[in-house]
Amino acid sequence: MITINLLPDEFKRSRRTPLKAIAVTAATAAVNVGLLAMVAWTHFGVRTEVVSELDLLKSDAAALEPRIEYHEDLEKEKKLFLSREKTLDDITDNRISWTRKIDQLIDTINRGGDGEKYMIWLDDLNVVQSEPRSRKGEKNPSAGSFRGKGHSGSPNFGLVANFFEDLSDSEFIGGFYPPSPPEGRRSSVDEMLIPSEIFSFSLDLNIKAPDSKKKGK
Amino acid sequence: MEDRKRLLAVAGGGTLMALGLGTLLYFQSKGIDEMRTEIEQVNSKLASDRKTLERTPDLEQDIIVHRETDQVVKTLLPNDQDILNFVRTLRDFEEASGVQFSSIKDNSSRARANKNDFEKVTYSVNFESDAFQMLSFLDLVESHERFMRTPAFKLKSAPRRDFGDISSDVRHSIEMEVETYVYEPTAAVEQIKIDGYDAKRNLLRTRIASRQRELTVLDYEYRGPRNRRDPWVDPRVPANSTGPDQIPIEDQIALVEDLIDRTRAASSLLDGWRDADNLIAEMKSRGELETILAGLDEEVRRVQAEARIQFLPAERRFQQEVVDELDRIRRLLDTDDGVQLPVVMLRQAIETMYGHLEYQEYDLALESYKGLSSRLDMTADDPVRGPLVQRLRDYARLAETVISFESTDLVIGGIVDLGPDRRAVLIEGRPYLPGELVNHELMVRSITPNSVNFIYKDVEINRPIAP
Repeated sequence: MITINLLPDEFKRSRRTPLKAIAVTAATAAVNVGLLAMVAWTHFGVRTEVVSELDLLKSDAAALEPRIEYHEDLEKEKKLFLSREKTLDDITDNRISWTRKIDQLIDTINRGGDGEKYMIWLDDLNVVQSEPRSRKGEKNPSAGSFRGKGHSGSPNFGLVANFFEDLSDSEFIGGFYPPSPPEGRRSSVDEMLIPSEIFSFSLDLNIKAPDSKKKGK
Repeated sequence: MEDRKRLLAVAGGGTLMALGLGTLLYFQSKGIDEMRTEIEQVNSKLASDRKTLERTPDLEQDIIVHRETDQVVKTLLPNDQDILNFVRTLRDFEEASGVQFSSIKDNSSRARANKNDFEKVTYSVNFESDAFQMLSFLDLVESHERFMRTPAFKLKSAPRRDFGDISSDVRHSIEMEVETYVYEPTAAVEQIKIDGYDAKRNLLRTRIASRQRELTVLDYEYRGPRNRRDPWVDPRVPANSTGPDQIPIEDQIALVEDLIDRTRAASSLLDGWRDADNLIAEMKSRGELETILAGLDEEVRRVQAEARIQFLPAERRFQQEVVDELDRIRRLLDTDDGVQLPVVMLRQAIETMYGHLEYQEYDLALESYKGLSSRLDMTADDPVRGPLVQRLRDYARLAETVISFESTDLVIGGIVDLGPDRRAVLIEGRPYLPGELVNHELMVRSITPNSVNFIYKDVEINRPIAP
């Protein structure tokens, strides 16, 4: 059903926008304007600045890239060389000048003066260099052995001690662990020879491992 | 009613718009946060890269040292082709050292020490030699320009032989492993171009040289047997080793001891002569030294000619401590005699000789001269020393002439004095006037009532005559 207001205009109630509507509209507008401003500030202010900073850093990183590649190539080359040199070091570290050692041993034996201090001779010599390893009950790793059976041309076993003392004081002993105290056995008397009484003993030395040698230097 | 709808529409539209803007803001902030995270990451990477690049100069140096060292490694270690020469090299060593190969065997497992580059090659060599030949062989192996080493060896001494044979042709049995490494880089190293390589290498020369030294062959100078005893030879001698014509071992030892003592005395005199701070001391030491050396030389010659030393230890001491030491003393004397005498010493010698001549000590004057005579030839051409040397020689000639004159045993009977201008001297029963020749070297120059002046070999000699 349709209703109409038939009153004259001067009697009709005046028509105004309700306060509630104004308030809602204003609030909505304010919120949206605020949000819009924030979006604009974020986009044109903060974001632009961040993008600019990122571009700058990326540009710096790109400039360093060839130098980094060069460095990495050098690293690769060094790695290959290091691998070779490690093997080479292992080889050279295990090298002992046996010419020097045997020459020094002969010097020491001859220092005995054919009996004045001692008269020593050997039956054999067995030298073996090996990978450094610690044996049971031994603290120091041994890189091989130097062994020989010897004789002292005197019934006085003290002369063997003289020889061991000279050996320990000589340059020969460098690269070896000190020998154990001498042990020996009197051989049977042979009146057909001069000297007729002799002592037999063992010369038993362990070679120092390359690291021990360096530490010992 | 319509107002209400409009109001609702405004509120709804506004809310929707706010929601849209909020969403936009949210995604924008999220994007910015992501970019900031990326910035942090790029920053962190940049810092890391810069730190890495700080090490580039050191790395370049390492690479340069490695590259230069690699050249040395290639020189030190043989390649596959060089290894073919390995056996030939061992054969050369056999010949040079005097060892005698009995077998040579390739023990290589062909296992690479490093899967990339190094292959171990081992030969087992059996040979016979004495200890010094073995050392010579070892020295050749260990000092060869190519890297070789001996990781193991065994020596078994030769069986004991009779006295007399033990010094020669001793053949110990030796088994020796000789090892080398073949260097064949499997992974080719791509060499990056380093700017200013040559200049940088020149700056690193010391470091490169040091590293190269570490890798090069061991440096030891083997100087041969040097009269040393082979320690793998039993030095004992048979108790009945001396023959009927040979002197007992104890006497041989005593003889050598005596010669050694005298040689040591000569060495001390040599030191005294060389350290002498004045001519008298020098001449005295040199005189004594020459006397001892003459006696020793004669004794040594006799001992060697008669082969009086047969006991090997004594023979070795005789050789080392007597013969070799005498050689050394003679060499030193020859060297020092070749050095010019100092001027002060020449002047001192002139004074000494003049004093002896003045006191008619002609023998002593000549003795003084003999101490220096061997060194005067070198000095005679020197402009400063030449005149002094000449004067010394003149004095020596004077002394010799006087001694020679006295040795002529001239029989002078006396002087016939008939006045200052009418004097004659009776020589060998015949009268001679001044100016007359007694023989082709001797002339009567003048005669006084109690002396005669002769000219003998151009030297005026006054001979007093007892009244």
